[in-house]
This record gives sequence, structure tokens and C-alpha cells, in this order.
Amino acid sequence: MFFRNIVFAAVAAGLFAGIILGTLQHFQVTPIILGAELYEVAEETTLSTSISTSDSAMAHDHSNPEHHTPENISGHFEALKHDASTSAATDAHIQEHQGHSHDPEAWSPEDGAERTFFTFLSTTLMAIGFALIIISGMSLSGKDSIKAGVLWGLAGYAAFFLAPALGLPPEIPGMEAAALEGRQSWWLLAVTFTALGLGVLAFGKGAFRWGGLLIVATPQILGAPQPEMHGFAHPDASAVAALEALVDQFVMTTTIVNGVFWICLGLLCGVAINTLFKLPNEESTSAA
Amino acid sequence: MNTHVSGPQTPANQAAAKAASLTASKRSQIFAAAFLGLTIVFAVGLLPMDAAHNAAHDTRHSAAFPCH
Repeated sequence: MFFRNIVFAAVAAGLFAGIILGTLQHFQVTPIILGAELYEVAEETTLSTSISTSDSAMAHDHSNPEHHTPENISGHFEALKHDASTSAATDAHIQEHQGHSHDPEAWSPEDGAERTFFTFLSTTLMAIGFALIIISGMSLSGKDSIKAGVLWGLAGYAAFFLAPALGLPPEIPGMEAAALEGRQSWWLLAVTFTALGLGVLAFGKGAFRWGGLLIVATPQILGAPQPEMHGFAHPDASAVAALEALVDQFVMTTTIVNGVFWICLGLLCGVAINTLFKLPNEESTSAA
Repeated sequence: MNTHVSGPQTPANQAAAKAASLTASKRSQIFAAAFLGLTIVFAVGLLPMDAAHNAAHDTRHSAAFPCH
């Protein structure tokens, strides 16, 4: 009964908040990602041109997905490494791709309606997941007013967006970054410690609660893994300038969009468990 | 009245025991819901499988999950 109400409330709040986030993302965030991807493609073409000049015997048709089999890709990198004119920036780019390459034949949604659909699907799923955490926290703490919901939403924004973004700012495709595994570990550390620290600050007793500040600060003091080279490995200076402008815009837009999303999500969670999916309280369960 | 409450099989005692077990059950239900939520968030945000990455690509970027 209790579990069911939490899940129903979270699905209801998550559906609405997920659609709000998906819509904001579609109109405000995705255009920036698509803009950056244009340069990502341009960058690959530039790289392939340099390979072609160094190794004209190899056919380089990047539009053919079968061309990028793992063997072919390692062949690319070998060819690039042997190219005396390869710049240091290109080397860094190769290292990044060798460390983490996606299978080019893996399924991915088609650009357009399909991609938009999966963006909405993933934002909604993510919102339901976050709503489950918020409502669980609200019912565990025993404070489940709508105001408490908004406060939980703000705490979620701090723990899941602001704290990790301080060390690892939101990135657009094509940006140089440290190895994915290290960044994911630090992301988890930042989220866990910030959530724990905020919990201690909000629910700790006496002077002990101020220890929460230290817990919140720990991941920031340890620091996120940073790439050896910041910015973009794109050879064209004007493209790099354009990409850097896109990054600034991306960081600002995602900060606002995620803030709006978390406040809406917290509010909707509070409304859902105070109206349609009211949790059974102590008195009614013990009287039953 | 006091003897009734401390007695092993009084209705008051049974109700108290029931309330206590409900609270424990309630807590485990809350943790189950929280665990389900964390699983969903990690699946959308961090699952390394290529298809999951590609489907949630734009969402991962915009929610500042580590990507690529």
C-alpha cells in the first residue's frame, strides 16, 4: 500500500516534470548539442583528410558505417600516429578516442522525431527515478508538505546538478575530457557526499549538523579528474571560438533548465502525495 | 490498566506490536522505492551500454552526467 502510493505519486510527478524538462530541453538545450555536433563531424572529416594525404592507399569513406569497425579505427589511429605532420592536439584526440570508443554499429535513434522521442522518454524516466528518491526521502523524514517537496527539489538540484557541475561542467559533444570511468566515479562521489552532507545539515542534531558542510565540500576539495588539455582539439581556430561560445551558452542554459525542472519536480511530488496519492499516516494504519 | 498493557496477549499489546511491525514494513517499502528510483536514474544516466547511451545521449549531456 505504502510502496504503491509512493510509486504512483512518483510516476505522476515524474511524467509531468519529465515532459516539462523534455520540452525545455528540446527547444533550449538540444539545438546547442546539434550545433556542436556539426563541428564534431567537420572535425572527423578534417582528420580523415589528413589520413588520406598520408596514406592514399586506404579508402576513407566515413559515410559508410562498416568503415568504422574496431579494426579499421585502430588502423586509422596507426596511420595518424605515423603521420609526421600530426599535431599534438590530434594526438590528444586519438588518445581520447582509443580510451573510449563507441561501437559505430550500435543502435542509435535516427535524428529527428525518433531522437526527440527518446529524449522525452529518457527525461521522463529520469524524472520518475528522481521523484521516487524525493518522495521516499519525504516520507522517511515524516515531512511531506508541498513546501517540503520544493525544498527536496532544491536539494536534488544541488546534489545531482550543481555539485557535480562545479567539478565537471556540462559538456557539449567534441570537448576534451578526462577518461569516462574517472569522471563517472567522481560524479558518484560528488552526488553521494552532497546528498549526505545536505541530509546532515537538514536533519542533524545540534552542532553536529554543521559537519554537513564539510561533507558537502569534500568532493570539491578532492577535485574532479581534469583532461590534460582543455577546450577543443578542433584544428580550425574559428570553429574553436564558435564551440567555446556554444559551451558558455550550454552551461548557462542547462543550469537554468535543470533548476526549473527540479523546482517543478519537487513541487509536483509534494502535490502528488498530498492530494491524489496521499500516504496512509501512522494513526490510520495503527487503527486499521 | 497497566497490567493489561504488559500482559502478553492483550488486544492493546497486539495493536502496539502490529503498529511497530507496520512501521518496520513501511520503512522497508520506502527503501525499496528509493532503491528503484536510484536504479532508474543510474540506468538513464550512467549505463555504459551503447544503445542506452545513444538513446539517452541528449538527456545525459543536458543533465551534466559524464558522457563520451
